[in-house]
Amino acid sequence: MILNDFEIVSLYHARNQQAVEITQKQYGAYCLTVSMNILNSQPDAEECVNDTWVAAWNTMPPKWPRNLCGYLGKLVRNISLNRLKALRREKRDAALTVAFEELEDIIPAPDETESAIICGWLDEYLGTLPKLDRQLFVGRYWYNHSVKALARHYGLTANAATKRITRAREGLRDFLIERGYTP
Amino acid sequence: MRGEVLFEKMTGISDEFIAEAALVAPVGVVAPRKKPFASLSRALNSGWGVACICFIVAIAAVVGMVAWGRMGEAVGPGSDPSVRFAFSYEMTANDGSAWSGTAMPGDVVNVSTTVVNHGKTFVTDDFFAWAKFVLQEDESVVIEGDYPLVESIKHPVKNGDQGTISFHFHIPENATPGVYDLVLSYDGEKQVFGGALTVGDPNARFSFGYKLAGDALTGASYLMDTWITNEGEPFTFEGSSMGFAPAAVLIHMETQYRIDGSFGVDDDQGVFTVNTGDMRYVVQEFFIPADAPTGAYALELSYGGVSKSFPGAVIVTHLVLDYPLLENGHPFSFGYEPFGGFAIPGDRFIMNAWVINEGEPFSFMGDPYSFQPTATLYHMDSDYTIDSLPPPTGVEPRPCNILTGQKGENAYTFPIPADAPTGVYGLKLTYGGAQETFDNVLTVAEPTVIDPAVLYNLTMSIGSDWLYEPIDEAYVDGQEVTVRIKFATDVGTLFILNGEVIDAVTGDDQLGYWEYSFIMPKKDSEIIFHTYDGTAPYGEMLKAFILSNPYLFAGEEQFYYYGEFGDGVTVALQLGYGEAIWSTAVGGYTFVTPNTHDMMAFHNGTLYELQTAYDMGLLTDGDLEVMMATHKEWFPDE
Repeated sequence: MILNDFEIVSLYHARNQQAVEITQKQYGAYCLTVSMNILNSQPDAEECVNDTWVAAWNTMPPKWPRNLCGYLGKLVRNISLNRLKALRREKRDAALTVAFEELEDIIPAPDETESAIICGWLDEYLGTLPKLDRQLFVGRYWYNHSVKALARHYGLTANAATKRITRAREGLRDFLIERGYTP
Repeated sequence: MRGEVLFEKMTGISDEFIAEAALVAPVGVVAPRKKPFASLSRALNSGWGVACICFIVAIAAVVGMVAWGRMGEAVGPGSDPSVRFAFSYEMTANDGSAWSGTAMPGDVVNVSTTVVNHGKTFVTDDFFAWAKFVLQEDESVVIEGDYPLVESIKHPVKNGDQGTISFHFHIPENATPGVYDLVLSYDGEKQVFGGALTVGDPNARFSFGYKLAGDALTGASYLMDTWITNEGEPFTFEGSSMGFAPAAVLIHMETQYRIDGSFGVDDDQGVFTVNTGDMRYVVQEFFIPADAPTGAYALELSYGGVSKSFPGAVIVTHLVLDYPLLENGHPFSFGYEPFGGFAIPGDRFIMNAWVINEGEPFSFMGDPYSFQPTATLYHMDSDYTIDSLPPPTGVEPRPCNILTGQKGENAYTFPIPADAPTGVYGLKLTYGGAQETFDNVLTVAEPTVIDPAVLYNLTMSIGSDWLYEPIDEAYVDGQEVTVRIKFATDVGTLFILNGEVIDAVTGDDQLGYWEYSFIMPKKDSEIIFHTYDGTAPYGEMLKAFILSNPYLFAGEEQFYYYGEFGDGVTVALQLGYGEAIWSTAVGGYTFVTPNTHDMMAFHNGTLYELQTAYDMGLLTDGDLEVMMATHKEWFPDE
């Protein structure tokens, strides 16, 4: 039995513990992938995914996400990033480097405030992109998928995927400049 | 590090954009599924690049359909008019057993192919078919099939025909271990089925393990930790790092129903060395179809021709959510109707029952009609119980909110078994951990055999125009008969059924009728009805007798007109005034002296039955004669 997002969120709001069980079964692999892409460590990723279930239980209610996939993705991503920071403090990991460098190449040196402003515009910008380009951009810079994995998934050559992602990055820079951001 | 800040702060992306870019699809979301081996994915996109050998007339690459496992099927030509044939195949081991996907050197593998002609009709059926296995890692490594026997070939000559060809493959003793694609060719067209065969390495030694993950639910994804350890010599392989990982399948232990597992974490490509003792840990994902059989499944893990089965590793159950999770003692009240039911064995008893939420509102996921009590009848003198038929189901689960005071009611049908004990049954209603019992709800009894009705005639001495309401001419015995006669005088009546006085009378001048009721005897019957009137003439006076009633004075004229008399005591009472009506006295019937109302008598304590009475003051001479005769018969000494 597959439950839709509304039904699963309803279970959370009813404080029914079946909600967590069903979420694990339907979104477990997805969340594990998001976390693995950031941490590159299965044990650490599994811990983050478990923390995600706790976070989902603690935030619904009052939250009622329309898209549970995206909501859980944000939860597990944030939890995984926090875990990454902790690991770095212990000097245990250096993941995400490639994606960072790509972003710095196009949008150099935003500080915390600037990055917050930029991120406020991100959704607007992504809405202007063709769906495939948007999927590639989000896949690369939100999920931290490799270009190779994205290319294979969307049936593109690695070169074509790279070009599309680069074009989307450059488009973001132009989009931000139009709104007064000076790189 | 600034890019890292931006990456981490990417919170402005909407959930929808995030969801649409997910590579690993949540269960129930349509998205490409990962292949068990990255090399298969590569085969999917690689196209066909192997030159066919001598027998094939022409080759047109048909790429895009990859099947994993025992069977493969290619989609028909559809929108591509150049594709004339649709291929499918089925593989079996030489002993006819189910195909596990893996063969060892020296094994014989049978491939039964089906070719459907979606193109034009051929002039001749002289076409040639061919099949071979090609190693995925090295297309130069080929295992050729035997020539198909002529008698095994059925050509699809015309459009719509379905042809069949069977091939036998002898896996060479020195066959290269690995995963092979199956290439089927027919009349110049071919089809590639990726990963159709795994040739095991007889020198490889692996051990497998898994971690118990609880019961699986139908219609949901099921994740299970598995691992493989290289117990043999070190080896290398090229391709995906996941190339060293156990393939997993769940096999229903009764029906052999199979559910393949997969793992979809992206990985690196390259040349990898697996040393002795190396272990690979993989989270297998099994999507359990909604219609998968429930029960125990064996987990079969395999790699490189080595497999191990773990019987009973997974129990599949149906997902049941049709109940709320409530605190113990959540208050409910119950009720039912109708009261005092009756049924006979073999019958059905239908009743309504309900539960009312007397506590806080609660919610659950399930059939909204499942908020109703479970009903059971219990025999009050034994342990025998009767369950109601299950309520209809089929409503898709949905969030259900039960408010305080909300009533869940349903009609319950109890099939009363033919051998159910007779007697009184109670009802037990349960819901959400609460229950209530009700005694004396249903009586189950053997049916009463009723004789065919026999009607007995009923006639009356007076005409039907005196009847206030008409009566039937005949009744069955035992039936209560009510006779209402038009009110005519205020003195008195006699209603005699078959010679016996019926003295219960209701009704008066206010109602306009006298009413008598009796039970119809088992014979033809006659009613005699009379009235008597104080003004009617009468023959002679009765004499007074000695009074012995303590309330009366013997020999004295008394004004008392009532008294209590012992049985066998002779009494006489002289009425001192003109009491006209004296129809009922304590102890029996009363005689009324017609003109003066002077006397009434109980003769020797015997209650007289006045067989004949005056008829509304219109006595005939015959009446008087009968009365006198009766009186003299009773009082011969007077």
